[in-house]
Amino acid sequence: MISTKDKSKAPKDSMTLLPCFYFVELPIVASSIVTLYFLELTDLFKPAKVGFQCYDRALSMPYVETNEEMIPLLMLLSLAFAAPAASIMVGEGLVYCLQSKLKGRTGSEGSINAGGCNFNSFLRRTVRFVGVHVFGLCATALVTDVIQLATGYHAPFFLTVCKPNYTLLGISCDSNPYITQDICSGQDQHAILSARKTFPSQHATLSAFAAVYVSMYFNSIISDSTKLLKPILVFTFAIAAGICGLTQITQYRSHPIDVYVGFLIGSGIAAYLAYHAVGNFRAPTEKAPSNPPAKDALRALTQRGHDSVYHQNKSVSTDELNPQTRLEGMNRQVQREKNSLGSLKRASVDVDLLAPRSPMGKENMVTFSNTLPRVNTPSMDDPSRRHMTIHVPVDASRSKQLITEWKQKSVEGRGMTLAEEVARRAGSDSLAGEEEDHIPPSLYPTVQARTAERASMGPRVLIQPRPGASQLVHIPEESQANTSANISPKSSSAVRAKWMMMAEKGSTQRVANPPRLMQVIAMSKQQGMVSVTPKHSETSSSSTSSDSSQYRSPSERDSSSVVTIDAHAPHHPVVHLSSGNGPWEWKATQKVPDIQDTYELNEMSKDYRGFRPAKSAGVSPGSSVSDIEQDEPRYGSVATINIASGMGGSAPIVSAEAIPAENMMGAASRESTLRRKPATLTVGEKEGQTEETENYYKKIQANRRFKE
Amino acid sequence: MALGNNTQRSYSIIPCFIFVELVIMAGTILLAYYFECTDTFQVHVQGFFCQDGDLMKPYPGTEDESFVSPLVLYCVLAATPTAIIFIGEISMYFIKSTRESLIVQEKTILTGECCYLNPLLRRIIRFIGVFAFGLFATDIFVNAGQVVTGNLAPYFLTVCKPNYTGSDCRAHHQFVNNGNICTGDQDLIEKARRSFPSKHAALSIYSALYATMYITSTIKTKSSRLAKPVLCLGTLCAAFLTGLNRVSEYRNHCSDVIAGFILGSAVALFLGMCVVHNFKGTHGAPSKSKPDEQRGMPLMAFPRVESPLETLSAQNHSASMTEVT
Repeated sequence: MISTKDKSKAPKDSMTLLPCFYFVELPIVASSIVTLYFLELTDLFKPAKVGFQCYDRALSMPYVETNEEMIPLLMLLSLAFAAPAASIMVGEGLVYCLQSKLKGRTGSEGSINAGGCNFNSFLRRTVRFVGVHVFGLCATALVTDVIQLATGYHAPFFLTVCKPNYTLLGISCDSNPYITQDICSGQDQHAILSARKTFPSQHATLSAFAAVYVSMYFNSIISDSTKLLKPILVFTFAIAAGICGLTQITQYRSHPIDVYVGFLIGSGIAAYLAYHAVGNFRAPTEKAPSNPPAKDALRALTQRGHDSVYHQNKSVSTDELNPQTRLEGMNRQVQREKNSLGSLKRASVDVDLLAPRSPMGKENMVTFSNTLPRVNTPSMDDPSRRHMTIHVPVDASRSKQLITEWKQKSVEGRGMTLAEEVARRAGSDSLAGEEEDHIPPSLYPTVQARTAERASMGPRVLIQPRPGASQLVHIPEESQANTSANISPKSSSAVRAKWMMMAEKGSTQRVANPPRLMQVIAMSKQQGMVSVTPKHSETSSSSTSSDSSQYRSPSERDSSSVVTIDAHAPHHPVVHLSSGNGPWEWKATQKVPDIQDTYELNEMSKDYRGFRPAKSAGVSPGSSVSDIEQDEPRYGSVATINIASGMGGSAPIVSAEAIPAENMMGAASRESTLRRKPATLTVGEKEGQTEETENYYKKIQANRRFKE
Repeated sequence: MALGNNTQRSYSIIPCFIFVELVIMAGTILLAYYFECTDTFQVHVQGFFCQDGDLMKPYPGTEDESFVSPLVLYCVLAATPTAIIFIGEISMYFIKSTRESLIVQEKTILTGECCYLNPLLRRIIRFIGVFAFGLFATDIFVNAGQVVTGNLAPYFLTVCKPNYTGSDCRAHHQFVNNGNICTGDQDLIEKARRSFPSKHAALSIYSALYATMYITSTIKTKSSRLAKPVLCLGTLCAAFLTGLNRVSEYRNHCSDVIAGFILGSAVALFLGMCVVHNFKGTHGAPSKSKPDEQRGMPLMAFPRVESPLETLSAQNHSASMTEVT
């Protein structure tokens, strides 16, 4: 899951992350620590010589021994390091947990793969913030030390530990009150040295840095839903830092001015680092625009489906899809914006028209290339092309009718079509030899060369508008059958709901739906030529029952495929024809006897189970690369499904009982249904099939219930 | 779904309010109470120089004899911003033009089944609550500073009446480290040890600045150009004079008052800008609803048919997932 989510957000691989970390960040921190060591713990650098006045009251404060200090330096260092680091880790952990729960959180950043390791956002953010904090502490201490050495002001206890021997001067203090010579007679050289390093106060700078840094962290990550949590945390750290600095005054180790200046320096460094080194603790902004329409529930779910498939079959070779993936990568960026925008607009404008031309990202194509998406790809690649393909229809009104009718059909038969396609494809890829007798050899090359295929898409889509009147007569059979199955409004709605579910379940296939619609339409023409006989449907039914068990095992899209196979039984041969990827293959396939086809299908579906893994493995890398783009297209496809299923459900309009059940559907879809109703009515035929279909439905329902 | 545009259903607001805000508030008040009214935190005993002129100012009498007595001061600085916020919010709510913009910013929250928290109530509670919290937080800050530093008030030596006989105090630079030589009233001495930073200055500047920020960012008067500045500068000036009065009455050093000013204004600025976001509507709302918009926009463009589909898909996917695994 995590990897999926992040894939969409960040460039997955970074060659520079680890080297940059090792050779830039670490040396900087290390050198600052080394410098700090020399400044702090060795006498390498002597503080500047500054004089003092005789009997200066401000320098005559009592000396508090180092071990009697309220907050010794070591404790200060550990506190200033540990408290903010622990707070940041806890905060980041909470943020990460919440983030993985609500995935749509904006501003989250993805994980990065570098050097074979996966650095997720929690790790990266924590390391970044804590690392900057450590570096900031070192830098603050460094700055403080440098200023202390450069100024060399005396601490309030200087005269106490110095114990100046005023007689050494030879001059009385009255005549020369300012003493620049070193007349200290005190024994504790360390105390004297530390008494000459006081401005600004080390405690004040370090504590102020830590407090301001962690306060800014909390200020930026705590949301506004609780008003008092943020101030209480900030105030707590502020009070702690303030007390830390003030004890320096009360213990006479620093002048008040030292502490105040130390506060200023520490908070200044913290503010600078927080704003400019870690970007105010927000995720890098350049990633934000790249994932705007990401994350809807549907998409997450579908992705989960993809991923499971992907992970299952990871081990199988992936070379098959390589060319396509590369193609996609090239114009992915450019396309995304256009695609999403266009899809949105179009979807709202006309739902009916949306179905055929529903926007499909190329990534979809990659993802579902094993099912059918190739048909779709060329038209989806850019809006203009898509428009072209769609508006080509020879006879507009007629083709529209056809489309709607076939939408119904395809909804019913879609799953099967898909499954068959898959099976066929798998079979054609691997079992080319077996199929050679009835499938033209040209098929195999087409499958391999995707680009050529894409080019051939256009023509293929163009075929659809041409179906003759005879096909029109044939098409409604299915709807009619459906009608009887859905005779009562209730049942029709139930069936429709089921269809929806199925459509959803076969999420991977779903996206491929629009193209398949076109294809099915194209096929319908073929079907018209190849007369469909009852015998044919019988054979198909037998194949269906056997198929259902087989389809379940390969993946979770079983249910949809099962049902669809049943519903679509009469279309087997048609689908078979369609597997030939070029327009030129139509005729050749038509010659194949129907029954043989069905049996072939059976075999192939068996094969399909074996071969699907390889396919999906090849597919998913591509999809993972371009996950972002999937959402938009999916919306379109969703709409399509709705309409289509609506058509399927509202087919009973013929019997006029189902109209109330249709209310669920959008007005647009209903309109379209009504508009096409005459066509459906005119062609009502073939009652014989109705019963069979009904049976299949029942069987399928039982099946599904059992399995779920 | 049936709720209107400006209504929002939230079940978390009441528990969040009770278990987070109220607990924090109670803790803050408790801490302030311990600081103010009990001896839980012993003040740091600070030494002094013999015959320090800075600490030998005349004793101005008890706090109640001051020009600004503590009781009056606390009442005024607690009541003034509360009243200003109350009046401002209510008038904003009942003036039509401002009400609309207000409702755009703020949504009515429906919590549970019955309770509607309308924008007026929410804003009043939020602003006054944050103000009260800030008041107590400032008080804690001031008390912590006073207790930790134990800085001596200008009249310390006057009330302490030190007995120098035990110590060598001929020179002025002799530092007296122990406070046991005091012979005066112990309560007065305790009070005289609490000087840095000035509580009056911090609280008054906090209150004045909070009220000023509220007035500046909320009240829009087009007709009168001088009312707002006069109001703001008046409150600030009063707070400033309160602080100066402490110095002139020898109750605090000048540095104490300045530190109090800085402390109070820092708290007020932080609360005003980072917590209530300049008294605008919920600042987090736009950023929070952004993902929702992105998610919802495409769906809204379609007929509503899809929502059942979506839910079904969710169920089915989980089902299929379990099947697979």
